[in-house]
Amino acid sequence: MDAAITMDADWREEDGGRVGLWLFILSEILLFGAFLASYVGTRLGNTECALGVVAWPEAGHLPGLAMAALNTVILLTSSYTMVRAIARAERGDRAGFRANMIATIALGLGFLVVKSAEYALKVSHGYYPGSELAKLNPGLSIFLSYYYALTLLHGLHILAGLVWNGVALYASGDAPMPAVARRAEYAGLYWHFVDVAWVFLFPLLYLI
Amino acid sequence: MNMETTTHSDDGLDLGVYLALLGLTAATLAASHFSHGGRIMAVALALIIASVKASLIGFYYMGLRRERAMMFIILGIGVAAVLILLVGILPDMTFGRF
Repeated sequence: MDAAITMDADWREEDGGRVGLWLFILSEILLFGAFLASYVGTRLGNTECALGVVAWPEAGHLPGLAMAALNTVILLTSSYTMVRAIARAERGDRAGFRANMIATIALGLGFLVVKSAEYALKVSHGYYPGSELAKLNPGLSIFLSYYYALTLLHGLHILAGLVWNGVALYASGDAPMPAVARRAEYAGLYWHFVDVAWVFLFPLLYLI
Repeated sequence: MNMETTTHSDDGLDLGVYLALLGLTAATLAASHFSHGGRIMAVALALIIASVKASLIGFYYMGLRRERAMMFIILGIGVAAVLILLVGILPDMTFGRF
């Protein structure tokens, strides 16, 4: 049954690769999880940037929120195109795989472009640690430190994912399709994890 | 070397999950406007919707629904560790000694 969790012992060679990748994802969960737990704890215990109240000052908040929402849609769409790329590779459709992988990479680059524009907007309003505005408001300064640390960390993961996806695309030129499908599956696992990380960062950093 | 390829995907299901994720994103934005009931409620609502989205991505896009028990053990360790970190700080917050 396709939906059943497999418990038998007939391990195949590619299963080892997936276990390795899931162990790598475990280390990433711990990294982001520790940051997020620290962030939640800080904002729960700090009345100046209390959790449950939007931390961003009003000026420029809506354009920044719109950009973050757009980036959420971009990343979710890139996860969908990645799933399609893997499916095409599994079916032996090289052209379909390449088209969907190119779309995934383009969407990832789009995420970074929108994020850069959002940073520019925030800096123009003085929303960065050490600014005059932040010095007057210690709570905002703490929040901004977390905001930049978490979004830059996530941005680095997007960059790493783009490199991984690019390698999978480049190596798909004349490789056997089962090998292309396996590389796509591994790249996809990482890319989807980066998407999951953003799914948690978006509401915690922009909406509450 | 085993080079066989198995197709697990279902185009209709993948599209349905994608549309559900977009819908839940809209729900996240909408819920933030109706969460004047308190800080904890706002955070809980945001984390619940995010968890549902993450589960959809994990089960359908990352293939957990057909994965071996070993992967759930690995994932469970990570989730448990993050929950311990989150819950472990609550007593300090509750007694206001931050």
